[in-house]
Amino acid sequence: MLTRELAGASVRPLILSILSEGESYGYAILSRIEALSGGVLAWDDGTLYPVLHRMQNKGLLESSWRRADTGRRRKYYALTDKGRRALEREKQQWLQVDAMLAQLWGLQPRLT
Amino acid sequence: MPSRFNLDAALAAWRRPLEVSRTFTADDLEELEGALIDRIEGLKEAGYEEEAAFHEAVRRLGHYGSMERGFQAVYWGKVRREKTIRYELQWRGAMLKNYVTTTLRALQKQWGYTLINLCGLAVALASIILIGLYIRYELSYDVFHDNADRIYRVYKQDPGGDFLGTDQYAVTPAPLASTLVETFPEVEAATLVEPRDMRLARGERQFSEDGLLATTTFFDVFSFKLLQGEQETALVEPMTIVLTPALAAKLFDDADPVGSAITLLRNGEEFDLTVTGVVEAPPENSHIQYSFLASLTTDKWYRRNLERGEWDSSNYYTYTVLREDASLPLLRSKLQALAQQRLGEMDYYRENPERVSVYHIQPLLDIHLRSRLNFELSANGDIRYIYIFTAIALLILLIACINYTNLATARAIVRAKEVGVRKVLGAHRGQLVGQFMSEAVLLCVAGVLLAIGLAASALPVFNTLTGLSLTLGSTPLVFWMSVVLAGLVVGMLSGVYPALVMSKFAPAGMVKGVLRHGRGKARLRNTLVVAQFAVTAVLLIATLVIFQQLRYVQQANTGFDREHILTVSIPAAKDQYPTIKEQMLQNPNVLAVSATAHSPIRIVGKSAVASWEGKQEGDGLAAYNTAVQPGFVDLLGLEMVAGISFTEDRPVDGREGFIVNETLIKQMGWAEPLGMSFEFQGRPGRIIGVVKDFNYLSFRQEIEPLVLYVDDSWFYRILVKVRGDDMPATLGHLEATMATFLPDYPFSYSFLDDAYNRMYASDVRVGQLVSVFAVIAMLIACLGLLGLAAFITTQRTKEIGVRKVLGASVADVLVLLSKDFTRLVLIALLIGMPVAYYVSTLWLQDFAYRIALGWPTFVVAAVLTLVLAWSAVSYQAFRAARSNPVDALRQE
Repeated sequence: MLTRELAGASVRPLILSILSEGESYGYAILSRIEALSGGVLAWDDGTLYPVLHRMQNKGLLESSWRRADTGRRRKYYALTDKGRRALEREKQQWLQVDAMLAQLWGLQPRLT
Repeated sequence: MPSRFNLDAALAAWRRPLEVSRTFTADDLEELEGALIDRIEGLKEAGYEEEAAFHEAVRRLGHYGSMERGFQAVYWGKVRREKTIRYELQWRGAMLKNYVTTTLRALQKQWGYTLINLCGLAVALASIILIGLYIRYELSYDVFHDNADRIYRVYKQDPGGDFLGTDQYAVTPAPLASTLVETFPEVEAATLVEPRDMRLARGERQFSEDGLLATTTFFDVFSFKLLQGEQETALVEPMTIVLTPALAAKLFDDADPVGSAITLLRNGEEFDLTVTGVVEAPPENSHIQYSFLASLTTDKWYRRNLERGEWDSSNYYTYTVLREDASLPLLRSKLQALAQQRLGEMDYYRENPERVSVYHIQPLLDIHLRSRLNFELSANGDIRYIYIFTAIALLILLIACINYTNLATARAIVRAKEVGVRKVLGAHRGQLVGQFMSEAVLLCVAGVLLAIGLAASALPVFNTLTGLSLTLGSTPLVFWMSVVLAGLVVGMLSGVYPALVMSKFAPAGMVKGVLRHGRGKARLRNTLVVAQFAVTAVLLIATLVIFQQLRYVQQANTGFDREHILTVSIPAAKDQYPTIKEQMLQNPNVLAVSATAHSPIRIVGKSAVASWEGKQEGDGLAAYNTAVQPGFVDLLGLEMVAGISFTEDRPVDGREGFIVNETLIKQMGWAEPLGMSFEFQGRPGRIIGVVKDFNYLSFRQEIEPLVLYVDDSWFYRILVKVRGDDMPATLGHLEATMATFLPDYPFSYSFLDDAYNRMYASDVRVGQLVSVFAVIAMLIACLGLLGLAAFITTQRTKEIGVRKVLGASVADVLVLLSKDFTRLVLIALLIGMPVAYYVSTLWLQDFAYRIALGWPTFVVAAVLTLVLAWSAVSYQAFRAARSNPVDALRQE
């Protein structure tokens, strides 16, 4: 399990990255993260939405309601240009941290 | 077995608490519900039963509280992004309207409580405004000088030279000021002043004026502005004078006075004074007061003292401005060295080195409230009174707070239904606390407004009591802001507890109107009532003690008559005294005439006795003394213990005769004092009489040795004993007599008893103020009790009904209802009395002659407090006791 702090810090890049693959909705994002982490990273479902809303408030995401096959409405999120730039910055920063730690531990940086 | 689980119903139940919370928008809810359904679908695919899937999904969604916090954090961002601020405000407005409506409804429904609360609060705040004005005025003394914080007065301490209870004197020698400026670099400027009353004339106009002699550096030290004239030269030359605008107008009307001459009348001679300027009059809150400033060089004694470098004669008040970086400890040690250097060389001090004067400095701003030296320029205030009144203000505030808290908590039950409904509809505890706090604050703001009105209308009375002329208009914004702040603080302090209590109730019981009163709540309320009455008891006892002491002072036997005795001042023509006396006695209403240097209520001359029979080497005695004329002892009704008094029939044979008091005899240890040789004021003589001790100073001081002797030229006051009838005619006769012999002087007289009472005027004033506020405090406390009693009686209506049906009499019910309060008041008295005893003892210590603090005072106070408390409770209790039990029992 990741520590609370690291889990908290990784939410944003994770969401940005997932949405960079194409627009998505809450449950799909959650499932994707579950699949990726293999259970290492787990939040309460309810905490994802305030994060999404905050990112939307900041203009990183935009949302739209779509009708799904089941007939229910779903809120889809997509990256804005600002969001894409934010993702680039996140990427660089995480790579830097990865490289630094790798050097210290004598490993090959794998994120590159 | 078919499952009874219904997903839609479960979802609806899950959604309900989120719907009532404003934190989740409709969008949010739909999104969350969608997420929940998605999760349920996912879980069902993984093999979950629907019901289990639902519970698991809800569990995974997370704790309601943390979810709400998360959404709360992004709420305002959404409002901004989606531009829904208008709806937001609309909603808040609607809520506010609802709060106001319910508040007003509650207040209206219980207008009695509202009135009690509001009145108590307003009266308390009005008292605080008035006390605040008074304290602000007292603290404002002398602060108007630009360099106020750097101005210091130099004063002198004469070790061993006690006078009127202290060896510290405000007066200093003439060369001090110039020496300070010349030799101490940290002294920026210094000035000398000497109070002087002058009879000033221009043509027909003559006025006796109180002013100051001062050096021209007066204007460098103080910020009194010279409106006309040159600051550097105005007070340099002898016989120059600067007038205040008021005096200038009296003498010159509208003409420009500068450069003109006015006449100074002194001892029958006339001197010309040149007006060199006009100076602004000092404000009321200045310890330096004058109607004119004349050059100090006008005083020939000053010129002589300065020329001779006279350090052993102190008549002048020295004020200095210190540089900002001046070190006070250093200056103090330098002053000490200076005194040693200048006085140590003199023969007297070489023999008595322990008696060399010590010079001290005191800040200008301390003079009014903290200085108690001999010969102060004006009657000072007392910092202790400031503390007393601050304490009283805080106590009144406390009582008002307790009132509000008690009444509001008691009333909570009536609002229980409202709180319950709000809670069921989704109100948060925070919202409820906010609601009730705002209510308290609102009421307090109303209280503040009412208080300002009250204070404004009570101000004239307050001014009469304090002898000040305070106004509300001139107070700065800061003052009002602190008043409003005080109101808010009271509101919050007294609102917070009831708000917490009310918001804590469980809604289920509240909606039904059932509210169990915890023992805890009653205990807190009781504690507060006890605190209130303890405070009241302290104030009440203090008031009683002050009144008793003041009455004691006023009625106590000073040892001499004060009634129907006039002192008429005789500034000149003393050789004519025998004729004046004869003339005065022509009026049948004039019973006796004598004369004295000092007023018998204040014999403040003190000098060393040169020698006496049996004096040993090293013996010393300083005695208060006054020169008198024959008849003095009889006129005042002084009692002779031994020997004879000075009378005209029995003139003293050649040798000087002295009359001394018992204390002097006691100190000497003389068994047979009459005829003992005694030398005083350069007069060798003997003791011819012993007078019974009488209080010739003040009750604050012990009686000390006193010497009376006869001097035919040294007296300033004629004492006239008159009959009480037809006083105007008698006064007219006296005035006419004086006018014949002293045509240049106005007739100036006072009654001895008036003058005596004036000595205690500030004590009387404080006594009156304390009692007024004590009564106010008591009233507020009783108002609170009245409200509380009314409430509790209502609570027990049914109980009373049952008791009456079962045969309880009206008296039984009365006892039942008063019992609890009586117990509380008794506990309060137990707590309050020792405190009151301590405080009163502290105050009484200031008097050398004082009342004994006996139990009757405390019993009276206790009975009064109980009676007040009972009268507050009994009205309600009586009403309840008299009510028809049928009405009480029919309620349900």
